[in-house]
Amino acid sequence: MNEIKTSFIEALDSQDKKRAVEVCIDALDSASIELVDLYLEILGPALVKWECDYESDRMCIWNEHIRSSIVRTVMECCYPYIMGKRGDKRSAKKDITVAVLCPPEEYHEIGARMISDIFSLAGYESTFVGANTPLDTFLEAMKKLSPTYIAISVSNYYNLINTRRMISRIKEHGGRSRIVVGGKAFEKNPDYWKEVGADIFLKDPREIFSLGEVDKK
Amino acid sequence: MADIIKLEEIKKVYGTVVKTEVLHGIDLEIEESSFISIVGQSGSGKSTLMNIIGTLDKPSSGEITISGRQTNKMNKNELAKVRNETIGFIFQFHYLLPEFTAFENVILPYRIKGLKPTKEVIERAKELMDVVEISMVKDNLAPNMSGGQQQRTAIARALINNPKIILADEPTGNLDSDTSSKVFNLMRSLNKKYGTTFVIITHDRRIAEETDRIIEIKDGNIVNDIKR
Repeated sequence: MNEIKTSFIEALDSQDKKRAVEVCIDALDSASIELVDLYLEILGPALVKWECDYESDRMCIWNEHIRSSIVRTVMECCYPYIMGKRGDKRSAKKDITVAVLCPPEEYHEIGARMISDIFSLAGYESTFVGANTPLDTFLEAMKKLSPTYIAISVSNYYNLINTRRMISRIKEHGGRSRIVVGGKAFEKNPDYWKEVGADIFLKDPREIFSLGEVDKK
Repeated sequence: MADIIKLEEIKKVYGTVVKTEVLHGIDLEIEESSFISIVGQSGSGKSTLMNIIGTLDKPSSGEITISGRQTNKMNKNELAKVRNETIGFIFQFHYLLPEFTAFENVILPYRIKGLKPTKEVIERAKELMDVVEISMVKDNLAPNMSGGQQQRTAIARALINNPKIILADEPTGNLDSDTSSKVFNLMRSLNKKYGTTFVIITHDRRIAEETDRIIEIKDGNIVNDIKR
């Protein structure tokens, strides 16, 4: 995996999208890496662990956005692999639905997208709603979708405030959906998932497969 | 790090005939050298809380410890001494004295102590004016400076007595976004350079999300207390 990681980081650092996609797809094609490991060990860390002096280097945001864009492209290219893996023995029942979203004003959606794909891999019918989900629209959609789980990904810790409000409104609204939360915002606030009113905290996205095993029964 | 501010069961009631409780038993500990924000809607109680922390107002009940000293039992003179030596204030409106120059405004908290500025104080004022980048307007009267320069002068003034704590109530509320960003970066660099504890009340989420801890006050209670 280290070789794939090094090649991918080199491509990302040089903002070579074509090469970045090739490295990842070749690795998947040759079964050198599992998709979940590609997401959680290579793509995610490549964004989170990237360092830039945001105070002195005015190109940091520019570069960060390009890196995110390249990672997003890689993930889109991975979709056929997700479809191919859905018959995996670890899969949950296919009629169990999940809506994956970010709370209002949370614009970091790549983590949520990864979670949505991992739910799909685990056999769930996952709908990726996306970043900055307006609460009122979401509540309307809930009436029709009534998902088994609502998974909320929070990166910016300020958005824990909005997350708490969102969950409170979802619960007031009724419905039987269970609320799952996770994301970088909980790193320094590991017990805060209870405070925001969630039912389940995903510390590690791989725990989705354990959840799938439970839901399969 | 030790706690520099500790509030225990702080309640504040306004009125004598019709009593309105605006803080309902706040418990809060703030570590030395921390850089935190307090957010909340208008009327939530955050400014009342800030005034109590800053000894500008007294709680109806509860205990406050500032830098190891219990202030709720102090008399007015003792409080004024703690306030002037331990706490610096920055407000949305700078409250500079218009007939004084930037330099004279900066050394004002020292002169309030009734002392003639020493060579060291003058040097500190110059250093602070360099840090906040207002040396070029040090001889300007307050009205002859831009909004950003006025606020940076107010920040230098808040720091002249080398306070352990800076309480900032909407410090960027009156500034455009570029100037807000500069003032915020300045406060952050002062926190790092001098280890000064910053408690910032703000409505601006861009400011709050860059602090290390966010406390949300709602209806006189702490409803969120989160760390970055």
